[in-house]
Amino acid sequence: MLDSLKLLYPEIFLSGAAMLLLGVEAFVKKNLRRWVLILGCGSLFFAMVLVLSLPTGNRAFGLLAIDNFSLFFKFLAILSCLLILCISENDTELMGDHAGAYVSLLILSTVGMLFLSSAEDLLMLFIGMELTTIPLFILAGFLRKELRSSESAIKFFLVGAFSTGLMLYGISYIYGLCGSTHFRVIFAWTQSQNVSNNALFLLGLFLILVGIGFKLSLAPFHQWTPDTYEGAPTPITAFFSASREAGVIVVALRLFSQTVDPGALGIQHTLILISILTMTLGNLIALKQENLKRLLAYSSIAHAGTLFIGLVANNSLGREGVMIYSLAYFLMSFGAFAVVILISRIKKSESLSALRGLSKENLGLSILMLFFLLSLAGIPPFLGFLGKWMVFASAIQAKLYWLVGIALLNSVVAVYYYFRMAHAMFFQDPDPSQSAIPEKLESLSFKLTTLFAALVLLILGIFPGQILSWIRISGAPLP
Amino acid sequence: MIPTIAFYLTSALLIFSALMVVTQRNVFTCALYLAGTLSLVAFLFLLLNADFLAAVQILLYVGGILVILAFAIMLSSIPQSKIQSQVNEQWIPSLLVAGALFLVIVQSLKESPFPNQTQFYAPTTASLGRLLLTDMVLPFEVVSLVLLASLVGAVYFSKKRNVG
Repeated sequence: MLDSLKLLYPEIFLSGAAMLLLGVEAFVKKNLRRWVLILGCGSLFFAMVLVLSLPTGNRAFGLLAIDNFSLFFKFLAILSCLLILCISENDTELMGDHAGAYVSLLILSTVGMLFLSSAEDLLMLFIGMELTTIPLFILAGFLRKELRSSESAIKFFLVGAFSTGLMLYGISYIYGLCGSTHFRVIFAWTQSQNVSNNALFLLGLFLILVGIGFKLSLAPFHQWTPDTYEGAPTPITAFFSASREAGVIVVALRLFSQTVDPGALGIQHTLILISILTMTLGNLIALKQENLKRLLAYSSIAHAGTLFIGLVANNSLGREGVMIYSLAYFLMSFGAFAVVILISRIKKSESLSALRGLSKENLGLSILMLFFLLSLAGIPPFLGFLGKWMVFASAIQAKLYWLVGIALLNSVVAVYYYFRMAHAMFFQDPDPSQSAIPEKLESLSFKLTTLFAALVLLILGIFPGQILSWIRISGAPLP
Repeated sequence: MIPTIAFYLTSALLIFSALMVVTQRNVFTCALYLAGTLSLVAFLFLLLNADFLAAVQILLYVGGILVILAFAIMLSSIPQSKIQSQVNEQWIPSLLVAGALFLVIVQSLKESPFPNQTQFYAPTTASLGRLLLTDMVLPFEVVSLVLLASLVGAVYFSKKRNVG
């Protein structure tokens, strides 16, 4: 028991920090924005150190796998929370009177992701998923003065509750058949009989897949995404799109490649179909979007579809690709959202026209945004290209040539709408009715975090050797 | 014999009251039918020897959640004229989808026999409690975090807007 607890230091520490912040919020009347921020960032930073110092290759309580694979995603989750916290620093609405609640909810959601990334049991998966999403419901509606924020929270909540219900239904069938919720027991059970003929098992898996699909915003379960992304406060949108997807994809990887073999079950075609639908719908609808947040929302749907290819391919290269892709996707979408936050705060507009003539107003900012857009479009030498390339390579290894073909076509479509944004920035004149972006930006945290993201994307994209060797060690599953 | 009759009778009543929950126009009537539904589910649990689950079902759902629901309905005092139909124009397609899913579930339940459990009648509370504090202690603790987050949300959203 004590050994297991030692493996959960990051989770325990972060939950403690979240509760402390809530206490500060409840009992201290003064506005302690700066202290809350320092406390939040400090504890997240310390949790990162804790994650890096954990011994690997163990199981905690028999329910959580603490291997390099989960540590990678834990690190990613904490890093994302830290960066999101930094860019919401200047947001007086989020970090205003309820700064303590805001930061502690962010941290609680991150704790949920930490649990998700090592869950090896359906019960733990369910609870981790709830712990990840329930704070996000609240954060989506955090701007109570804005109707859109409440709308987004309600939509997200209803869809989230519904999908959770479906997933629980599926879990109950699988538990009834296998007599356990543990992945290894389910694996042993699938080995012992002819599961591809067991309709109830397939139905249970399908319901779990639907639940995961809703959370990952895979088509056809994606309809809630644009509205929620548009209405939620933008830092939260960035948090949604990046880390939540990383958290859910780990679970999907553990469940659909380690526990059940989609090829043997004959559900691989369903997975391929979902992946193609998600990519195509996301990209095609993104072409027509005029609102930047909606555009990035649809692009995140498309990226979720591409990420899913790594799972469909079901080989070790696919796992490694998913890891690189999640890291890259988090950094680039974080950067793009951070720029959108800055621009919309100054120009009071979230539409595509707010980007017009950005290069004439502030060249540095437009080049930064170009970096993120190029990476999102999957153009070398950025890390986004490497992620995409590895995922495609894994699909080729699995002999899914036409899936790669469709994915490549989709990438071309995606390039178009990313370049639409770039075109607006560099080749159009600024809208004189909107206030101009100043030459010198004041926000230090914005500069630091976005430069960090851009540099990591660029450096790891040009010199991928080191990260690839780390990933190769981490990709192997726990026996 | 008697358990079988009891099971089918309960199930029939359960389906009837569940249907009433989603078709009645008056919200308060719906809530009352929901109370009936949840109590009948508790009775089903009893028939399956899940005594603890049945008690919790009554305590939490019927005793707790429904009372709050009734309060919310009475306090929000929806005028009788504003009561709307529970279905929108898309009810036919959704009924078809739900019906198809129902058929799939029934067929797959028929095809796959569950592992046969020997029936024994023993209180389950002790073993559940032991599980919660040994093998399942981690999920048990993490659930408290989930509850904490939901409580924070409830407090945050129900606070008056202008009071800081």
